[in-house]
Parts: sequence; structure tokens; C-alpha cells
Amino acid sequence: MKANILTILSLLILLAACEVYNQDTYEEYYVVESYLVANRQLPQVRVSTTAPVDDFYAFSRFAVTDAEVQIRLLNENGTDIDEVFVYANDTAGIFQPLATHKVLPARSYQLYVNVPSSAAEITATTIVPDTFKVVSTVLDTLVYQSTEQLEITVSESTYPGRQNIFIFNTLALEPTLENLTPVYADLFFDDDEDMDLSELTNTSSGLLNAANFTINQDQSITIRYPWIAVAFYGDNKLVATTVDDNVYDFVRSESVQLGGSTLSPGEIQNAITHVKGGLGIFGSLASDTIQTHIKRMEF
Amino acid sequence: MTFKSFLISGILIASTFAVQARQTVSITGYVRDANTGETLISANVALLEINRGGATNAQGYYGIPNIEPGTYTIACSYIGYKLFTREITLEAGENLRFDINLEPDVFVGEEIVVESEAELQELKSIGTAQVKTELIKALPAIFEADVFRSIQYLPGVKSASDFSSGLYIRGGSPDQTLIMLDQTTVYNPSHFFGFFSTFNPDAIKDVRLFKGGYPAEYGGRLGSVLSVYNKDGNRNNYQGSVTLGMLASRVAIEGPYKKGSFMLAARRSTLEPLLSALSQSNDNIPSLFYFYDFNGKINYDASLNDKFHLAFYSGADKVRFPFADDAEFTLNYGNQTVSGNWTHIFSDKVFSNFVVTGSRYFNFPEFEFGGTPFKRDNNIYDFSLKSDLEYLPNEKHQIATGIWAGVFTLRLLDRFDNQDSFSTRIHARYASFYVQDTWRPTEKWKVIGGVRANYFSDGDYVRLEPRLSGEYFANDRITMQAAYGRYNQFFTLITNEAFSGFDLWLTSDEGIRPSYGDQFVIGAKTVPFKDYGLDIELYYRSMNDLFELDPFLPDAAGLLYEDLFRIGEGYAYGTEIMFEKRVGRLNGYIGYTFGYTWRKWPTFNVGIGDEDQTARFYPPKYDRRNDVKIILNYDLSRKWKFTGAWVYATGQAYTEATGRYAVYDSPYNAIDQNNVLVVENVNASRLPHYHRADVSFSRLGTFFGLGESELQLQVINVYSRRNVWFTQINFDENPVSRTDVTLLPLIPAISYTVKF
Repeated sequence: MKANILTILSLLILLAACEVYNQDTYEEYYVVESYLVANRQLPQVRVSTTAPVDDFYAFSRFAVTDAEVQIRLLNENGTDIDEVFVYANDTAGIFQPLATHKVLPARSYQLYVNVPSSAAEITATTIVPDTFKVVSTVLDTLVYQSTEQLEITVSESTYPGRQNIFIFNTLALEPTLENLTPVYADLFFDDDEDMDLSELTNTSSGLLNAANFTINQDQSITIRYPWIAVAFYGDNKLVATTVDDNVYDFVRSESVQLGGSTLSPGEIQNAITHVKGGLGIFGSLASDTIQTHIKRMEF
Repeated sequence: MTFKSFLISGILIASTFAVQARQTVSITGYVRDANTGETLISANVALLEINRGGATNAQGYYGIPNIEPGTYTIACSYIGYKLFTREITLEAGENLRFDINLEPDVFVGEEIVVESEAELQELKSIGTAQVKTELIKALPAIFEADVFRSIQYLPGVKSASDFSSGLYIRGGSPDQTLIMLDQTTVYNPSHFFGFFSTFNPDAIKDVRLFKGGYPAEYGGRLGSVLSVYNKDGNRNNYQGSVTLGMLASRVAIEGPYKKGSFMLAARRSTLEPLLSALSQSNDNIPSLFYFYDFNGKINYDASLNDKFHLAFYSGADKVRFPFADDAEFTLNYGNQTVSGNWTHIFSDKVFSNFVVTGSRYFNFPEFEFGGTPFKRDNNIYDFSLKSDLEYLPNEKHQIATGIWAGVFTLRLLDRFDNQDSFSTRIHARYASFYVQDTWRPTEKWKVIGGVRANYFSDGDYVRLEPRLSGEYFANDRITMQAAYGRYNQFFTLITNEAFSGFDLWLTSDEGIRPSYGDQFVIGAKTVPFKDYGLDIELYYRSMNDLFELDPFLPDAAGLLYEDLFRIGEGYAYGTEIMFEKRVGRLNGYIGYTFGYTWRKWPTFNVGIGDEDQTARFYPPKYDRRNDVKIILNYDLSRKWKFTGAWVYATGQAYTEATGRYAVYDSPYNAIDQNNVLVVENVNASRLPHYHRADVSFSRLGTFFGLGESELQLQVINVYSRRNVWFTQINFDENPVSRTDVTLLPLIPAISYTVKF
């Protein structure tokens, strides 16, 4: 019996020994970045490489200049190329389109990058979200934290295979210390790490599913804008954005790399990129912007 | 076979049993503590001359059937008690009810004599462990004696960190352990957001852990079962205790009444003065924080064969933390349980137990930031009925069967900015039935075979679970054991390793199949020297259809239920060795665990550039390959006692990022440069080894002649090892910097208990 136990123990150790799972060393990958916005001109494309995590990082140090870059409009089915837009290197790693083209909503585009020096080929495809408009009348002025909250109604729009996913940004146009709302002022002055005021000028809601909001009979969506989004009194631009799958996957996976989800602290997963042959993001979105003025509360 | 022949066969079989019953006799009864009248679970009772015996069940009841009339020596043993022996004479046709009162072993160094092979066998069933209340109270504990932290000292049980009392058993996550208080499921058994468990050691009689390969009697979880029993209350005398501690204080009282006994215990945190003092100099202090719990039990002995008890638990944690002007976080969470139990002895061969249980878990976090409120109402209600029957047809078989049926209701409502943003209601019915036979074909062998059938209404799932275990008593010193079982789990816990205050349970449903797994365990229990034990167990377990909340899911609104989850698989294997000195002035154990656990989730840990998106297995954070635990108790004198604990573990798994890049142009991003890490293998690196020593000195005395007292002086982490919890990457510096987030430093603690 003792021999049996020893045999099983030996097998267990052997099994464990076979399960080697070591940390790999750094490998370099190409990185692309570009965002198509429906009904706007073609965007720039960034091409770079990754950097070893402990190296000093600046985009210019890892920029790739010798790349052949194209954005391709695919046909309605998203299978064949309808039109090719060639890009040229502008500044290190940043490529600009040589022709003008207004991005078509609800169409598929492909990013193609070829780096001749390494024979690397990088591709990524996106489906541009349908456009929408803010259709409600927006009050010129609102009193901060009054019962009259900002409500915006956006027209119906769709994205294939799923509900719309929004991101709302509030861009402060008068970002001064005096204009900070109380909660942001407290966070700013309490911060031990010398927070820069510019870090608060753009607040983002993060990804929000359309099902969070009231869907009206005409399929438009009414959104009650929360006061949490307002960091500064004064004029603010409110940007409503719908995103494609690439942006959705990239943002939701990248945002939890340093914690904040149910993952154990220290367990880092790669961002979901949908980029073949490299990393980064080739995404698309549709957006509309309104402006309002936020007044201080009067006591 | 016609109905007539069937009837005749039945009558013949019944007659055979009847003839046997006339020829043999039986002994049954309860085993109790002589001082308090508390029933003792898994006490060993044996007739020495014929080497027949058994162990008491969860109600403290034993039965030895089919004994030839004659004179025997009945012996009863239980660790911590004096050996009981008595000569009894059994007359033909007599079924002797023989209740045994065991005297606590108060003398230092007295040893328990093991005379019967039956003794200690039940306690040492494969995969099981028992934690004595005395040990829970004696072990050095961070601020407060704690059941879960004591269990974490057992081989095969790991903790996520010093801050968590969660139980990671044999490679399983905490939700893979069924936790029951007086047979009632407890859904979030934690105080202080997971820092320690809800179980008040003053109220507890017995803690039993089935680490794996557990029998058909239990079900519902893939891995383990932890069964905690409240005290019945002293049936002979009134007694009580008051304990003043640094974090919390406790009071308990128990005693007899005409037809039974009662027990009440309460505990409340006493942090208010500390918080008040700290808030004078620090803004980031909660304006309110406390927790409390109440345990109670009342027993009613209706007759010799009928006993009733009603047990309850109620506990909650409340915190209010205004962390900025116009920003506040509040949390109120807790559990309530109630169980009504009826124990009925039908005959000397049939013992039954019926339980009605109710369990509620609630969780109400609120968060208000700059005039925007967020509120969650999370309620779980679980009402069930359990019935267990034990039948002792003869000396070779012990048949157990039972049902457990109930209704599980979850209500979850999220409100953001005063509008409903997410709501779900799960109303599931569940039922299970088991039958199990403990067969002793010879004195050398014991085989337990059983099957459990489960039904879960959401998805209409029916699952069968075969269970089989065997023991071979090679000689007085060696017992070989093996077990196999299939296990299903219909629940998943959404939690955060660092904070259990938001815990949320979800269930399988259509499209989300229940998780299932197989467990294989083999082991040997040996007695290398008198009073020593050397146990070894090897296990392998699979985990399939694991479902848990997709950690990348930013918003659940409008999604199909099945889209909330990721479905994965895993497996774990390892060996546990425990060398124990069971009695004596110096006692304790050394436990060693060698274990591997692996998980795989679709699209997670995929190789960069892998177009097939093939997920690879990786070790979760709590995978710790080598784990050593040493517990020592030493009676320095009649008044002074020392308890020490030392723990060593391989550093936890973490992900070492190898590369980085940044994105700059996103129109939706609030920051100009968004940094992204590149990972080759998830959790392929290891934090530094973990080790820590804790000591406790206790002094017994008297409190102005009014009662006994105990002063405990404890030091946690005596050499102030700064173990690392995780490493934080900081992008504010270029190149990135890393900051080790460390675990607890040296912490002294003091408590004073008066018993009256």
C-alpha cells in the first residue's frame, strides 16, 4: 500500500512538472490607432510599436514611419473593397489621408497597414454606427443640482446585432478653479498628487447601454443627464456618442487592466483589439453635440 | 411476479427481520458533555469485546444494532474528554437506551486511550476536518477570534489575503463551498466587508468541514461543505461570558429551563471611540461604522424520543463614509437565518430529523456623488424544508436518505439618478433527494455508496450525482481511503476578493447550465506513534461549465441573462499532508499542501496574434503551489497557555506585463494619453513568498471571585513581514513605477473574558 501511495505521489509530481507555465519575455508588436466618425472626414492613423513595459515611453520613440497605410470602404455586405483611400506619413508615426472622404454611417471600413521592412501586415475592420441627432430642445441655462435636470432626446439609430452603446462626455468650456463644482473642488484640493485641472475638463460616463434610458414611441431615446457629469459651472458642451464593437470591446477590457472589476488584483488581461497582425484600435462612432450653461446654486 | 407472490415475498422478508429483531438487541442514545449537556457530534461509541461501534451523528445520536445478548464494555471517546467505559448487560429482546455523559478532560497531559478500531474513524473520514471551538478561540486572530480564519489554517484551505476570510478550498473559489449554520444556508457569512466571518465563537458548538469528496447527504456546491452548529445551551447550569476586545465585544448567556435549554449570544463592534478620535485629525474616516450579530437557540425536549429546537442568527454591517463634499457612500448588508428542527426517534433502528429553514441576505449600498445618487437593493430569500432518515437494519448497513426542497428568490434593483437602471428577479425552486448506504462487509472494510438527485426549476435542470467512498482498515495504525463524487452547482457568486460588501449571487438558467465537476480523492490515515497522526490525501477535481459574471461587462442593462456570464472550465489537483500531535501538554499540527489549480475562459488569456482566439489555462491568484502551516498549543502552566501559528505559502500568481503602448486620439476619452499594458501569459509570475507568525498567550484567572477570567495577549505577524498583496503599476511616472501593496504589519491585540 505504501508503494501505491508513493507511485501516485510520483505521478502527481510528474503531472505537475509537465504543467510548466512560465512568463514569456517581451515581444514587439505593431500598434495602430484610428477612429472613424460618421459624416466626418477620414481620420488620421497612428502606427507605432509596443515598448518594453519598463522603457521610457513616448509615441515618437516607437513611431513607425515606413508603413503603407490604407483605409478601405467595403461594399454593403462588408465583403469586397469599394474604394481605397491611401494615406501618407505626416509626422513620425502619424499618417494622413491623401484624399477627402466623408465617413459613411452604417458601412464597413477596413484599415490596412503594411510595413515593408518587416513584411508585417495589419488589418482591422469596423462597422460605423448609424448617425443620430439631438432632437429635443435643450435649455440654454440650468441651475446646478436643481430639480430641473437636463434631458436630451436623441433620434433613433441602430447598430447591427445589438442595442446602441453610448458614451457621454461633458467638455467644460470655462475650466477655472472658481468654476469647479463642490464635489470636484473637494477632490481636486484633496488630491495629494497635484492633480492637473485639465484632467477634469472632460468627464466621461463610460459605456452605457441604450436600455438604461427611456425609449420613446418613435424609438428615440430620452436621457436624463446626471449632475455627476458636471465638473465646472459655466458653458459646457455635452457630447453624445455611440460606438462600434471595436471601441466597445477595447474600452471595456482596457479599463479594467489596473483593477475595478471582479478580477483579482494583479490579474491583467490583454485589451480586446480586433486587430489582425497587431494591437491597438480601429474603431468608429457617431456623435452629436449640444451646449448649455450651468449656473451655481443660489441659497 | 404476481401481486400475491410479491406480497408473500415481502411478508417473508419482514418475518426474517422480525426474527432477527427478536434474537438480537441494540443500544442507542445521545452522547453529551457532562457539564453542559451539549450533544457531541462524531463522538465514538464502541462495544470493546466485539469491536462494534459507530459515531454520533450531527444531533449527537448513536446506534449499535444487532447485538447478541450478553455483557459488554461500552466505551465512548471524544477528543478533549475523558474516556468513558461502563459494563452493561443486554438481555434478550432488550433495546437499551443508553445516554452517555462525557467528562471534559481538565487535566493537563492526560491522554485518551484508543481501544477500538471504530473510534476516531468518523472523525477521520476522507476529506473531512473538524475545528474545535477551543482552538478557534485560542488561535491568534486579527482583532477577533474567527471561525473562517481558523479554518484557513487547515491544509488544503487557502486565503486570498490577510484582509479576506474567504475560503479557497482545494483549488475552488469561495462560492464552491456550501456554508450552513444549523443546516441553513448562509449567503454572505462575513463582517467588515470580508475581513472575518459572521460566526460568533461564543455561540458555536461544532465546525465541520468537508474539503472534498463529500457524501450524498450534502450537495449544491462543486467543492466543499462547511457545517457550523450553534450551541444548544447548558442543560445543567446557567452560565455566561463577557469578552472585551479591540474590535468587538461579546456577551453570551445560556442555561436550562424545565424542558430544555437556551443560548443567546451577541457581539457588536466597538470602534466608535477609535473612529471619533481618528476623525479629529483625518478626513477620510467613516462617520458611522459598526457591525453586530445575535445568535440564539432554544431547545425543547418534548419526550425521550422527540426534541425540538429553534435557532436564529441576525447580523449586519453598517457604514457611512462621506469621502468628499457632496459625496457619500453608505452600505448596509447582512444575513438573517432561522431554523426549526424536530428530531424524532421512531425506533432503535430509525432516527429522523426534520428542519425548516429560512435564510435572508440583504445588501443595500448607496452612493451619492455631486447630486447624483446610485442605489442598489439586493435581497435573497431562501426557504427550505429538509428531512433526513437514518435506518440501521443490521450491523453491516446504515442507510440514510433525505430530501431538501426550497424556494430561492433574488430581487435586485439598481437605481441611478433616481431612475431604475437594472432590475432582475429570480424565483427558483430546487429539490434534492439522496439515498446512501454505509456498508461494512467485514471489520476491515467500510463502503459508502450513494446517489443524489437534484432539480432546479430555472432551466428545468435535473442532475444525478453518484458518490462512492471506501475505507480499508489495514491495521490499528493505518486506514486507507478513497472517494469519488459528481457534484453540481446552480449558483455563482459575484464578489470582489478585496471587498465582500457588494456580494451578489446569481443562478443557472436557460442557456446557463449548472456547473458540474468530478472529484477523486485517495488518502491514508495513520498513527505512526501513540497520540500522533499522519494523514495524507491526494485529490483531483474537474470543474466544468463554470459560470461567472463577465469581468469585462461594463453595463448589464438590456442584456439577455445568458450574456452576463462567461462560461469556463478548470481543474485542480494536489496533496495534503498533516502531521498531528493530538493530545498532551504540547499539541498541534504541521500541515503541508502541494496544489495546482487552473482556469480557462473563452477569449481570456489568448495568445497575441492567435486568430483562432484559443483560450489557455492559467492559475488564478489564489493558486499557491506550496503551503505550510504549523499550529502549536503549549500549556506553560495551569494558568498560562501559549498558542502559535506560522504560515508559509508560495507567492500568489500575478500578471507581469511585458509591454505597453498608448492611444491618444479617442474622441470619447477624458484623458489625452490612455496607456495599455501588453500581456503574454496571464498570472504567469509569482509574488514573493508569503510567511507570517502569530502568537497568543492566555492567562486564566478569576474576576474578583465572581467567576473565571481569561486574558489574551496576541501579536499578529510578530516579525512584521510585509507580505505583498499585489503590485500596482503606476503610469504617472515614465518609465512606469511599481508599488507593492502590502498586507498586514505587526498588530498587537488584547482581549479579556469573564465567565460567570
